[in-house]
Amino acid sequence: MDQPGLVERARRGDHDAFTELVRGAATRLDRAARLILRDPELARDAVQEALIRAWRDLPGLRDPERFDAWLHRLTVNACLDLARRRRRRVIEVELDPIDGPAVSDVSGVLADREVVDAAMRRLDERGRAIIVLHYFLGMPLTDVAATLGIPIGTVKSRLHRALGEMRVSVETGSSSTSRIPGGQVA
Amino acid sequence: MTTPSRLERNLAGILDDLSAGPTPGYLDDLFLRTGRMRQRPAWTFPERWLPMSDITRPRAYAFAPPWRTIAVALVVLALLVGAAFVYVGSRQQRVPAPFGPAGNGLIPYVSAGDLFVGDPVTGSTRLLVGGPEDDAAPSFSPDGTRVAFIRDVPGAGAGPRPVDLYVVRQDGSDLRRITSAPIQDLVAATWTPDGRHLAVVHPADITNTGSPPTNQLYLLDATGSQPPIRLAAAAGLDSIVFRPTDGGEILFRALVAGQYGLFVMNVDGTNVRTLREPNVPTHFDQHLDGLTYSPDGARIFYQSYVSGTDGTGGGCCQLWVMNADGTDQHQFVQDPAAPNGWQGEPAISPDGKWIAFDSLINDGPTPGVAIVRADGTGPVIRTGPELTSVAHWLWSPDSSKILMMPSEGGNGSAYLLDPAGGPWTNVAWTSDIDLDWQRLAP
Repeated sequence: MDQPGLVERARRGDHDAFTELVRGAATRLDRAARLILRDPELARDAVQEALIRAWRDLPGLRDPERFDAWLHRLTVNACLDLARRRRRRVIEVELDPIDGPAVSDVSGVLADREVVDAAMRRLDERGRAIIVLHYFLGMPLTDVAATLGIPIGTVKSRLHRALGEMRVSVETGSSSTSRIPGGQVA
Repeated sequence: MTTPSRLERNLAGILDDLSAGPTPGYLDDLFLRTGRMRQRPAWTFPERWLPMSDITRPRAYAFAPPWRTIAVALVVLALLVGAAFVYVGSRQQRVPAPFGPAGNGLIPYVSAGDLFVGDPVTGSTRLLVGGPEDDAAPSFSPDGTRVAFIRDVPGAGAGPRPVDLYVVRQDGSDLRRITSAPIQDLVAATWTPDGRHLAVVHPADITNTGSPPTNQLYLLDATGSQPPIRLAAAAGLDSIVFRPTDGGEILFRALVAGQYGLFVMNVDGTNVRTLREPNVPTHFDQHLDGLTYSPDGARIFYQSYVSGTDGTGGGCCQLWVMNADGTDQHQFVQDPAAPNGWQGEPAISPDGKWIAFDSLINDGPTPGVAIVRADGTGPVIRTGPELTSVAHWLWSPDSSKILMMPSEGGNGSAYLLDPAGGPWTNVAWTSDIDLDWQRLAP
């Protein structure tokens, strides 16, 4: 059965249909949550919370065609909620100033997965959420705005800011390690 | 014009690489949980079943004066505050009836696992219960002096999340746990009209994963000092509503031979009567949900499964109404804007004049909450912003506003809607989805 049909069945309380829907989406959601939260255990909690909420509130989903986008929204918001709760209990590491040197490109450095990983960790959860929604899940910025409940202009500015931070982090990581030949600022 | 940097061009692939991992191994546990869970659990909307009442008035907080360093002024201020407390205390003797219209008080809400109360008029807020614990679902007692809430029990692992129930005074003092042991898989919780107990429903045996579970209805002493009183147990027992105006009967839904029915019993658990014969299977778990009495206790509004007229087997749900004795069951209204849409979640205004309900338009966005006269006459009014998903709402105690919160995950600001369809506003704070509103003596 196609996805809208499954959604329609699940909306009417069909657990089997919900199971099939979730099995098709869980890996993608889990990966997105891990990218946002950078913690597999928290990501697991966030995805479970999102899927439970999805089951509970599925009858209210107007358009079955938007099931995936709706599920993404629930997952991202569950991630941000968990991150907020976690912040109450830990001492945050202060981020570097974002007004770093203007870096137009980082060609050559991108092959280093660890450097980008470290750059992602330096973003806050909201910045990572925008990056993940747009680049990992492939959402247009208008959908990112709808998912996060913020204006499109805010999405653009935050994305610009997040990418700027990542470029600085990548560049910093590159120059400090000099492991990659040709890793120079364009 | 800008072009994507190499970082942007390669980011998707790198993120894909970074996030690579095994298929999540927790899905079976998750499905076990959702398999035992109704869609739209009733306990998250206790205010739909039990109007709150109150004997207090909102405290008028004095702004800190800029000349507070002057000792004489401090003395004067202390005297004024003392006098205000005496005045407010004298007003707390007024006790409204537990059902019907009342004055608007504070709005409790949850933010990052802590409980707060906010004044919808001034926008001021204050912490009610803080700390590292995760608290949720605050609900004012019928006399408005206390707030009940649930607290997650940490370290429980997979499966239904255990919770404890707590009661705290509205000023944040006298915090008491009223459960002697954590409750696994809480199904419903609501104050009794006299405010002496909390009625809770939970499975009798959570290790029995068979379907359906037998749920028990208990009364927990709101002070935590008396042992629980067991009222009833039934397969699938979930939604519970106390009947106005004396709270002497409890309306509940339960399963018989795997099919949902609607029943009522005396408040001591005796004299169980059938109001709606069980004839709809559990696949349609919103059938006979959304239960609410009219403030005079004469009628019951509810969601009903409807049989298909074209051989398709029917579906759920429409908004129906019946007399309190089960007679005259019929569809309440048919929203002309949503002739085939899902309708339910009725909330009747405390003055008994209006019904707010969910009327979904399948082929497009739904323009707000639907409102119609309680006698079913007149046009269907739409109020509030466009709804893109499920929203929860309740009436203000004085029936002048509707507090509405979209349920799309994450925090947001609840809406204050004009039932007449006029402009709406947002409360001054952000919160999770739990909704309640303290009632004051009129």
